[in-house]
Amino acid sequence: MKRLIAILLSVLATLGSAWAQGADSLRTVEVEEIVVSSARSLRDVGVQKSLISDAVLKESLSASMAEVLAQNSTIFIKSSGRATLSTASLRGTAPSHTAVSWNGVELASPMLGMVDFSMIPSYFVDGSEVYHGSTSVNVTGGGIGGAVALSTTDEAPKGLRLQYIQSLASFSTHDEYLRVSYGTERWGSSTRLLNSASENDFPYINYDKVGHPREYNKSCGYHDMHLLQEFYLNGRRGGRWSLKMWATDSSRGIPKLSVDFRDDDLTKAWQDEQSVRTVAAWRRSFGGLRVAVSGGYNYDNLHYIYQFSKGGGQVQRAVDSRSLTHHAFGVADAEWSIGNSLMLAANLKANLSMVESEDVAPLVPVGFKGRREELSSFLSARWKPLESVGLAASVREEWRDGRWSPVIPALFADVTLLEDWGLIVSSSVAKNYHHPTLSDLYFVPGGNPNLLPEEGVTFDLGVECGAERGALEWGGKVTLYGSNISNWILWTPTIKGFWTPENLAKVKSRGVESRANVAYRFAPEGRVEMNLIFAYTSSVNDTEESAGYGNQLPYVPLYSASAGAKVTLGGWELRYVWQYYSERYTSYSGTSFGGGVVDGYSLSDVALGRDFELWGVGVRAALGVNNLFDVTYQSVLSRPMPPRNYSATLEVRWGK
Amino acid sequence: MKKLFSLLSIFAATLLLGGCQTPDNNPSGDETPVPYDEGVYILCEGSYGAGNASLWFYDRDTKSLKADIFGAANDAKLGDVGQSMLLHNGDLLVVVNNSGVVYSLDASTGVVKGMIENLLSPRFIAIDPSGTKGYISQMYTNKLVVFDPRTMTLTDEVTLEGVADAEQMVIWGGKLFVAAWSNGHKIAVVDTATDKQVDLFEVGVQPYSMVLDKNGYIWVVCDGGNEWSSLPEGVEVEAPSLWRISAESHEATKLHTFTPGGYFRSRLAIDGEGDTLLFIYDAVWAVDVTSGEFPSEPLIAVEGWGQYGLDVDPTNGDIYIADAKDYVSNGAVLRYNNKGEKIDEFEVGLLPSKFVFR
Repeated sequence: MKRLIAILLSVLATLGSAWAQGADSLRTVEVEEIVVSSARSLRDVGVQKSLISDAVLKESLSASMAEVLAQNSTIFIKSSGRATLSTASLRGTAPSHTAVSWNGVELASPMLGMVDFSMIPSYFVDGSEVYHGSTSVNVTGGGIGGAVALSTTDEAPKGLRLQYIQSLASFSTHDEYLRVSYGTERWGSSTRLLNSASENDFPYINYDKVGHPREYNKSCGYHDMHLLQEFYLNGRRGGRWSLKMWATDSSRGIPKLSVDFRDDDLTKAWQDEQSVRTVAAWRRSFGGLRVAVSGGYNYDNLHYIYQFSKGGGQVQRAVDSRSLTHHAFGVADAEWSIGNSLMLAANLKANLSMVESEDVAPLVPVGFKGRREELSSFLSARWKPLESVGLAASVREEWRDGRWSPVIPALFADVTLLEDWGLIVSSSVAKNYHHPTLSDLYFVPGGNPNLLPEEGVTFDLGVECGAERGALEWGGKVTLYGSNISNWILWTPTIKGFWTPENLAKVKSRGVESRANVAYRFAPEGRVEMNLIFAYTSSVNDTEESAGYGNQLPYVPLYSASAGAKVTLGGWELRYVWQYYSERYTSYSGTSFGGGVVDGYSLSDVALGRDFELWGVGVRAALGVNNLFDVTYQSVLSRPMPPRNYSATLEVRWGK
Repeated sequence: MKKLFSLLSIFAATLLLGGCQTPDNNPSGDETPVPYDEGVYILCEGSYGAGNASLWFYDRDTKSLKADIFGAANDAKLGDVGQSMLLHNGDLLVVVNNSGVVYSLDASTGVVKGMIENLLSPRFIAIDPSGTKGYISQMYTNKLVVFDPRTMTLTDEVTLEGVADAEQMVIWGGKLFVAAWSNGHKIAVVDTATDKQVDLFEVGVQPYSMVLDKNGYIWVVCDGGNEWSSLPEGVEVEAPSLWRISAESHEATKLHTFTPGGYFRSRLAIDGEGDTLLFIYDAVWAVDVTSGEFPSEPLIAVEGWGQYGLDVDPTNGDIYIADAKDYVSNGAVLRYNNKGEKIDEFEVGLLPSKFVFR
């Protein structure tokens, strides 16, 4: 704690000294916010997409993508704790219904079908696009709820650049981030290293236990290391080559439930994970024709252990589960612009996934081996019959393990009503399929090879506007949507005593997504910005024969919102972020008693930062307070979350 | 500019209001008044890993139901996986398996009087007739916890030889019979005066449940295991079976072999007189303990396969079935009279499984 206070004081001193240096050393902060486009490109006709800007990602460098998405989109992040499994739900669907990619690499585990966003550091993301509902078919299949496309820049700045960030935070948390890049006209290289560790032993008032004792988050320290290496090359004949490799080595304790009365010495769980994701890509333009080819390989080794003490220093593992995943893929893209009003696009993707999972703790090990071969083809045509009208149609056809899926059709349209005000009405309708995971199909015991794909039909209608009038900029968007999903896969017990997945449920989802932002430049180097995101999500079990018919699905908040305010003046920046989720049911029953709901909560974070130059080196120092009002809350039932906590960040940049 | 500041003010006020909140653990209750003196306690397991077990009370006279009496009395959650419970001298002992805790509640109010924590994986409780000693069985260990139910303090432990862990228990004539269910096929016997193991004998594979009848026989149902069971060397998966054991001589007799492929959805229950054995094996069966003959027709035909618990109200012979439905939604309690005629049903929490009658 003393160390933290000392560091906080030194950061404050740094801020103060920078202020004393006067305005000459101030660097104008480049500010971007959530983009509301007033002129639609052909590629985005009818698309419901939100961007998380580069500026937001830079401000959130020490956060995981789970926190960034929760604060800056309508995605609900279901977090089991700090640096613990965090999954995303978009438009009231299951975590597996949100497709997630990084530089075109699918991040969802072919075994479990979902992504742990707490394992994606925002340090390794330069761009983030959220495709809502049906518009996800433009980037991938299977995203019934939508898709999140994460990327790193495809350019290395010219010359040598160095960036180092040291972040220190409560609960013995520290992040060290180093980026070294070098670029010429011909080639470039970027290396990013991240070391992130924490005791994560935060205190909390345990309202789940009798007497509400003050306790500590147990057994959940973590140590993650990430390396990202990127190379770029401009070919002599106009092509552009890139190679990206992201390696992770992570060891994380699994926090105990708030209602667990056992000591760490008695029971303990943790998981170790090593993964490598690689992608090589080539792209080139031939006039109006743009072609791209990429391919890659992912490897993931997940080891989960739950052990208990037998006394006398002996331990026994109740679960000792290893899951190995290999995933290879290849993608070919072509996009042909014919004049300014017509664009044709085609995409072909091949995937090969192999999973081997085994729990060796029982005398008779349980597990499975699974393999999946996939082909996905996509054709689209986008047309602007008038300058103010855009129309698009697409079809996606998928082949899996020897069987063709039904065609996925989608239609998109938008109309610009008032160009000066950026007033655009857009709409889309699409059918989509989500295939069972390898675990759903082959897990032993219980896997069901006869499962059908989950099938969704989605419609949305959006109105957006945005304009700039002198020093004032503003924008907003409201989208109404509806989707019907059938063959929803649920795991339920069987008469044989184990659980098995079946196509049991129908789900009807209706909702509103909205966002608004306003920015005002009150001085040459002074600006105030605010943004607000609100979502209403009614996602109900529509299976008449089900016990939970008509009830809101578990862990889908009916209301969610976030808001942000930022003031920049000279090199100073003050930022406030607020986030709200209404209560969530924890089962399909839609009742509140006996842990049936997790209470709603709102959180506030505040950060003060300062950018300046010191001896030719760019410096940014920042202090942050998360959970400003010290709210006791849970995102997932019985999973404690951190109280008010503090962070100090120092960043140095060298190179032009 | 003024408008902008107005907007900022509203925005800030919203943020500040939103920042002030305290957690609310108060469950939604109904009108059943405390004390819970005459009625039925219903334990709902909840989902493993979710911490949403719950305890209910049904007043059989007023037919009113009180949800989550533990939460209402203690402003806390019961825990993760409500495993079993037992009424003893006005105290309700509740085992919460994956919380590693056993609570002693004032049965009339639901208020916690004492607790034993830091247990590895508690499953069942047996109390010696003296009322001064109790036993807690656990998974993953062959050690029984010995405790004083008056003070809820640990007093000793009993290490069982020849078994890997312990499940249901029955006390008769100064002997504690302990079934080793998980991957086992034996029953251990402990002298309750010395807390020493005095016998170990074989029954069918995975002795799942035990009850004592009026004749001094212990009835045991063995589920037979399945292809994923980690059975000891030389022990094979077999068809489920029903056994009768003399508590006096420990002679074990297999009385019935069930059709392979079926599944025991409930543990054994016995009526108030101790003369009729009931269990669910694809239907509710009633077996006369004196004849031991397996009937040709079930007492109650059940639909679906959500039935998860069964017991008989000793005060009137009514049969209570806990229906977990789809296991991801709230369950229900189905009541039948002793002729197998349905009386009514009502909704309770997630995965109802155990009843205690008062």
